[in-house]
Amino acid sequence: MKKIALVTLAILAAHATAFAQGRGRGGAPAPPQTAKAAAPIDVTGYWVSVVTEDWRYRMVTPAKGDYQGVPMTPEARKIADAWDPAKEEASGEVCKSYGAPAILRVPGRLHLTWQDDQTLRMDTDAGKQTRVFHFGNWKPASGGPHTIQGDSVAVWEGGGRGATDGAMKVTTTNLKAGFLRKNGVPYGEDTSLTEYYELIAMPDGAPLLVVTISTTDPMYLRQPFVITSQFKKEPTDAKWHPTDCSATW
Amino acid sequence: MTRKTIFVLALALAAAPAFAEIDLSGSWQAINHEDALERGAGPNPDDWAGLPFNESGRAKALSFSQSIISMPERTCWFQTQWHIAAGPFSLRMWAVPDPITGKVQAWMIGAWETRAPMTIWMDGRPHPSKNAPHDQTGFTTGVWNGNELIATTTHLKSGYIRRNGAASSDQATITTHFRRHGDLLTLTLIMDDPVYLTEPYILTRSYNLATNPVAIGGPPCIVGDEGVESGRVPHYLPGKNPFVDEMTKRYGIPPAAAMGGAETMYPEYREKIKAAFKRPEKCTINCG
Amino acid sequence: MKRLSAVLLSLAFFGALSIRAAEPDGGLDVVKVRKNFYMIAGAGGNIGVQIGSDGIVLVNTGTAAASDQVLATLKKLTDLPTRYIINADAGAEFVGGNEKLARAGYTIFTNALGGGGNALPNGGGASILSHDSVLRVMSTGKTPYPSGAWPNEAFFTPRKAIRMNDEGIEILYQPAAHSSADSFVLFRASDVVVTGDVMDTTRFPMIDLANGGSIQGEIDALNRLIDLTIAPTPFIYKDVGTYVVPGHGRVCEQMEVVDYRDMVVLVRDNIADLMKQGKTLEQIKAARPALPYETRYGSQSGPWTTNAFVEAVYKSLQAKKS
Repeated sequence: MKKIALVTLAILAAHATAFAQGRGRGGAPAPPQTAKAAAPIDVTGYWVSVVTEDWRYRMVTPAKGDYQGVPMTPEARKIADAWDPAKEEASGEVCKSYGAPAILRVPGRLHLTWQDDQTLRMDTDAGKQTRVFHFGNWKPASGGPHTIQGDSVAVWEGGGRGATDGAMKVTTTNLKAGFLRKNGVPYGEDTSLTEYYELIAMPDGAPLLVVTISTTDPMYLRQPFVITSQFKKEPTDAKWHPTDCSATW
Repeated sequence: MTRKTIFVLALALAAAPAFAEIDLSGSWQAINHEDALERGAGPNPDDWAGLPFNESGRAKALSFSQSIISMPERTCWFQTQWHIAAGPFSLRMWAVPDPITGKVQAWMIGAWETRAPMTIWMDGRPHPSKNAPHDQTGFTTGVWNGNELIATTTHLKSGYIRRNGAASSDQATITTHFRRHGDLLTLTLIMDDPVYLTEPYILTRSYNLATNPVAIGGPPCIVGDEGVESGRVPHYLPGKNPFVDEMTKRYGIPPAAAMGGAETMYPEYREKIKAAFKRPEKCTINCG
Repeated sequence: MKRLSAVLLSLAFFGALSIRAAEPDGGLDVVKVRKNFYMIAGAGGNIGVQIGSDGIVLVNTGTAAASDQVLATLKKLTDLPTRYIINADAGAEFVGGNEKLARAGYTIFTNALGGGGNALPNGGGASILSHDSVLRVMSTGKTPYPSGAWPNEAFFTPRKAIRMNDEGIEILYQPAAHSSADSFVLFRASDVVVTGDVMDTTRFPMIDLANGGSIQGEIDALNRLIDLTIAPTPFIYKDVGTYVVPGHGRVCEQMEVVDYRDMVVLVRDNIADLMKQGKTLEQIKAARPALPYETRYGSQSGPWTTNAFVEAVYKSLQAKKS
């Protein structure tokens, strides 16, 4: 029994040592990696929407009353049924359907870059929007204004050891009210968003960016609204085509 | 080998870094928030917008008559594995261990209604020869990429990409990527069909882990008389499909867009159809 | 427990299915269709192989050039000799190996007239059985085959039946289909039908007008083939149905035959409609009546192109009219 216990301890110690060695032989632990250095996947670059789902809600503006699939509350339906595109246009608030919960459904291009080692920036050509994903200990200012893109906190999940299954999880709050769809399907100021950004390999090896988006709105959604958008990588900005927001198209 | 030796060995193995595989087993409730109509009641007639058709694929779809499923030979013509993407149903998944080694030999996705059970072989076996029969379930192998399961299905029978005549051929390959985040499962399905498509067609679907078990089981099927006599093949002659302008009538979408093609998947196509698109005042059908 | 047993059973079944195809054997692909039935692909037309205690029954023999490979492949499957060759098609890709494979086989009439090879039918080799139409094609015409390749048992009736390896085998003549010399060979217990080029999963059916083929006969043959097969109803997910060994291409079930038949009917209907509109053959070709299936079955070059198929259908419909 004593022999077994000794052998067991030896095995456990060996693994503990190996683990510790991975972090530096004795002494102070190495400083944590920056988000950029620790990224298990590379989401930077230019990406173009591939619109194979919900086509008539995305490539064109759907008619008033066309809400298939959205788990709306009665309050949401009341607001959507009152949608007046001409009024929206006249009000000047034409970017309501380009907010964080909806922007990845707008057909267009994304440009992701590292703003600094802890901050990933996303620009869109459709609607000329910018989202900023903060890694690390960043927290949104309490009581700060609600904006179209809100405040986003990001973490890396998974990946490493040669696998490409890592993901960027982004949580967004402090959103200004907007539209989940251009025909007035609303989301409110208490909306929060959880997204997973992942890379999938196409059959020819090219990367596909797949973003799973879960929108929670206690006022206007009966349950989290979960959709997924996909994007193909483009080698350059040759097709980058900035367009203004539109309330009608 | 003594019991003590076995214990020590087991400990050594347990302390070794584990391969990054995750548990996909459980009942996964489908979240039908996107493509709700297409997955549920079925797509609108002649709505192939966003499908990267080649001209044969389009011609095949235009020849399609819904009466074809009333043919006695096709009454029990069930769906291919693509129905995971094209249908509304939930999934039940479980692992099947090798009875000798205990390693996962296969992952199963239970059958439901018109879709056969799917066996994802994890033991490295090769796909059958090109001359082997294609059965209802196809043939699927899987590999792990960290925590991502990648399943490749070949040897499919002919079927549908969409249940309005957009066909998939027996030469198609489906690659399914399984990604799990807690209780959320996302599947990315990629159909590569050189017979009908100019490029791979991608759909993504999400599921919530459910505590209520998802029912599984393919129902038996008996051929009944649905009014199409044996030997008759319902179809539309070229130029005679009566639904080519259905998407225009219902939603103002130009006919050319409804006819599909790879360009209809990309943002620049919006500029092409902007002038021709006439948004109806109000939704009148399939509004949700 | 029941469900677990069902799962394990299905895993075993699909596991067996998945291992059925051996590595290509010197260019030939052997597919195990049933416990005692194989398909050899790659020797020209597909060859059906039934093996049992009586010996081997072959349906078709591939090309002459592939005979040595076929013999070597058969040897790997069994040491038993070939006793019968059945020809379901008179094309060179189906009868080219007749002579060599028959000679390598052994007649069932071993006690006929006592000793001496000369007294035994077909020189002591395996018997070659077919409908008379195959014998006529092989023995007449511009370049007849050597007599050693001819069927030595020819029948004139629509149906012939024998029993080998403890199962009934029916040879069912199909007149004026892809040619005038087509038969289906149904193995009752194995639940396998071997077809010849009435069914070809690699291309549009080759309607050999010069040798008695016709579009309506081809459709009638496919309809009959559908009737001969049984789909795996009611338990769609548990069972497989009747297997079909086509002239070329993979092993099929009833649904593939239905797909193929539907294709032929649709293209025929498209061409018939254009003819009704008064279009010429060149106008019909330009209209691409086979477009829905061009990428699956068509070809722009080789021995059988899309246009050749369209033309054959056109001429067959014209002949039907007059």
